[in-house]
Amino acid sequence: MSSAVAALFAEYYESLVRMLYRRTGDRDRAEDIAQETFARAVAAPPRNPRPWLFAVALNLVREEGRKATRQDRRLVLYRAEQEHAAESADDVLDKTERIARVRQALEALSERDREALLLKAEGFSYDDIAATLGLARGAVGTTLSRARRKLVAAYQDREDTRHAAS
Amino acid sequence: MPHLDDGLIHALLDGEIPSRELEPLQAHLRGCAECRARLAEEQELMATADGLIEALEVPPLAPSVPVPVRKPPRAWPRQVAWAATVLAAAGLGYAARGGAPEPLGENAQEVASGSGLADSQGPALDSAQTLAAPPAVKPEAAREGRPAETVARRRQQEQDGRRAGVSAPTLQANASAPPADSAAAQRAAAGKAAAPPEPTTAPAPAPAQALGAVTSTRLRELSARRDLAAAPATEQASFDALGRPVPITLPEAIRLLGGSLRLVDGLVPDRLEARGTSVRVVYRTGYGELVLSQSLENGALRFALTAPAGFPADSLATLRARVRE
Repeated sequence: MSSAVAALFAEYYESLVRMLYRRTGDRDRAEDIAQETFARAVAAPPRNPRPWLFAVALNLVREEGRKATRQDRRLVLYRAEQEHAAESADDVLDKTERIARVRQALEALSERDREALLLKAEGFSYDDIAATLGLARGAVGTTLSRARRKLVAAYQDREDTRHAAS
Repeated sequence: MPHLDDGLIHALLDGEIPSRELEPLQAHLRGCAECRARLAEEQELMATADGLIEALEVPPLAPSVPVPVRKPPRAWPRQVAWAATVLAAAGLGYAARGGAPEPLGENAQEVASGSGLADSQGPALDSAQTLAAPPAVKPEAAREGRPAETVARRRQQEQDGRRAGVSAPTLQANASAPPADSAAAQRAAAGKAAAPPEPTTAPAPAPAQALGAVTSTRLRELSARRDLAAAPATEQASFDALGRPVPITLPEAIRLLGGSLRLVDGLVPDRLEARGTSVRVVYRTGYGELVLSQSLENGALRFALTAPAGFPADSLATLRARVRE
């Protein structure tokens, strides 16, 4: 493998996996997609690497997204597995719950808004976010402001629901 | 100059306004209390949102001793300083960003203590809509002597933790290339490629594999994978020692089948098993066990529904019609 790609890997692998993990909630899947993305970079080394890598990765997530919508049918099975988690200590459950709520709040965003937010969290500049997502640079600020507002609102909305219910 | 819109305010706070454009903005802010108030509000919103996202830290591969990790480089400290300059010029006080919202306060601390990469307990079984990694349990047997921690081995460990004593589970692929045809099958195999053969020797403690620690490992795997990509596609199945099916989890089943899983609409499965490369979804009925077995063949998902003796034929036909992804 060329040293250029190895250097890209060293620089961006962690950040890419973290973004993908936040995007999908699944570490295994995040790493699989990251590996697939870098494999493609090996095949065709990109000129503007960071936006390219993240754009390809996000595309891969979207391609799998259609299958992901069938997950609701599998919830029954999945709930059985979650009972295992419910047996853990209260504070672990609390943190797990909160993380779950953040993830749910993230899911409430549109795909574009969610992606912009996660890229920003990886330290992307507005230019890079625009390049990765195919947005006009002038639209990035608006996108992020909307995404941040919705994220917090969705999170707090669920918080309120939870407190009301308990 | 008109009031600042949200996009502009956020761009300002993110340090994305070029210096030549700052002066008119600062001038406006000096004279406009409403915009100053909005700026302060949005700043708080950003801090809250940041805190929420930062709570989503990548879990380590195995829950044990925390591994010190390198903090990921972030651009925002420079931007924060920039925003501070702007606000100071506008006569506003500047509170440091990055405070987590009240409910997450201590947890953000806890979770983020390894900065980007958590030292906390295993992956969260979080939102019911996402397929999180299977719960990380302390592996009762771990691989010894091999520095490379592949994704396949990690899954291996998680399985072993759940089913101590069962050897050679079916998800262990030989070190052969992923099938060249189907992209889905390729993705399924991506995590298993370049896995070394199954060792059987004495266990050694598995170190926590925080993300930063595995990067070089993943790079090696990637290199190896590229080398093998030209080889013909074969994925060999393996069975457990007695050829019996092996229990697996939902995410594993989906991966084994290249990203999708069929179920019988309206029935609740009792369990999932793998035998070789096929997945069995087992349902309990009054007549015994009904099994929906499925596997990937040449990129296409094939399934068969088998019923116990005495199961009414028309019911079976109805159920077969209800098999869905």
